[in-house]
Amino acid sequence: MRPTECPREQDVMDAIASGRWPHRCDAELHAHVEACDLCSDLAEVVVPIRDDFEQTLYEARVPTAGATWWRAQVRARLEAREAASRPIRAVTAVALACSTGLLAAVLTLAWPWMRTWLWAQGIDAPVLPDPSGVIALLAGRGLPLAIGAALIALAAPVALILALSERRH
Amino acid sequence: MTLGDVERLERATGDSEQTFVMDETTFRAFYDRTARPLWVYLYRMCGDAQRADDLLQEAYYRFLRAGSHPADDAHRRNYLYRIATNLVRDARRRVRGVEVELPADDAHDAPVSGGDVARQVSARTDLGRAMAHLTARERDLLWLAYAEGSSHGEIAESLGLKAGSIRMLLFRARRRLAWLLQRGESRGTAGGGRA
Ligand SMILES: [Zn+2]
Repeated sequence: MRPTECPREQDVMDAIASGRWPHRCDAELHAHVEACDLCSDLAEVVVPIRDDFEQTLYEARVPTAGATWWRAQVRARLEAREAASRPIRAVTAVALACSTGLLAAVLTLAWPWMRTWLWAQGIDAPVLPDPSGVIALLAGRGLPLAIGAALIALAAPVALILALSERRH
Repeated sequence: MTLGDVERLERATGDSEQTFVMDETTFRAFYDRTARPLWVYLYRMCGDAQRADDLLQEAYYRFLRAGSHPADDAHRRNYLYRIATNLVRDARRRVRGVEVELPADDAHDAPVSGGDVARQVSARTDLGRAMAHLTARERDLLWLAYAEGSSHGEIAESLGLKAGSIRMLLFRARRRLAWLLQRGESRGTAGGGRA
């Protein structure tokens, strides 16, 4: 197996890092690099990489630490705000859906009376499907459904108020 | 981000509320030590100055957002480079089918002050071309080892590799780059070269 390291590598690295390589270092190191494949590869590779690094470093323009800090702060707070508003948006959506459902239910139940009143005004309103089936089902399920409906009826406006007040902040 | 958001958050950033674990003074000192070499690393690994700017910002943001940081400066730096390396890898994956390569001729655009300008530009162009033929990992390894002067342990930490594997990986990468550079030189002169 071919060796992957040479004890003189550090000498070559030091000579390059200090700027002594290739013109201001001793003949003995030159002779070694000439004879050693590992060290000649090292010199071949490290010199242009270091030159390029130093030149690019000299040309590099980066934002100030203060600007980077400020941008990171702004972004962190935006993300925190976004994360905080996600459940509020979900609650708003649920509240809107519940409110719409309640409104539809009330309208459906009140429709026969409304239709009679409209008829008296000379307007022929269409007949909706008979809601008595739905009412019978609700009555059959009794207490749990009544409690659920009451909770929704109470929670929907509260959720809406919470969501809207959060938006104003 | 809208102007309104920025204004609101400008007020919010004045709050005493702590957004990051690291305080501003520590961050500024750390940034001043690491930002320029990190930008050069990102630029050399992704090959685009604009993208390097974006990745730099992102790397520090992710660094700051991390819950805890290594206590000593060297490990912090390695941690930051690890974040940066992962960002470059992700960026490479996003540009699917188009390998993000080191710019071979970018040295022509760069201002070079003093010295032998033509020789320096030529050397940088040769390096760019040769590096473009290496794998991303080979470039990472060579850059960290020889531009940044990182130890094998630091390279392993920065790249998420086993410390014991660095010597062999570095040896192969170095051999390959030396061969590519020599091939480039010989093409520029008489042709042929070491195989
Ligand atoms: Zn040697």
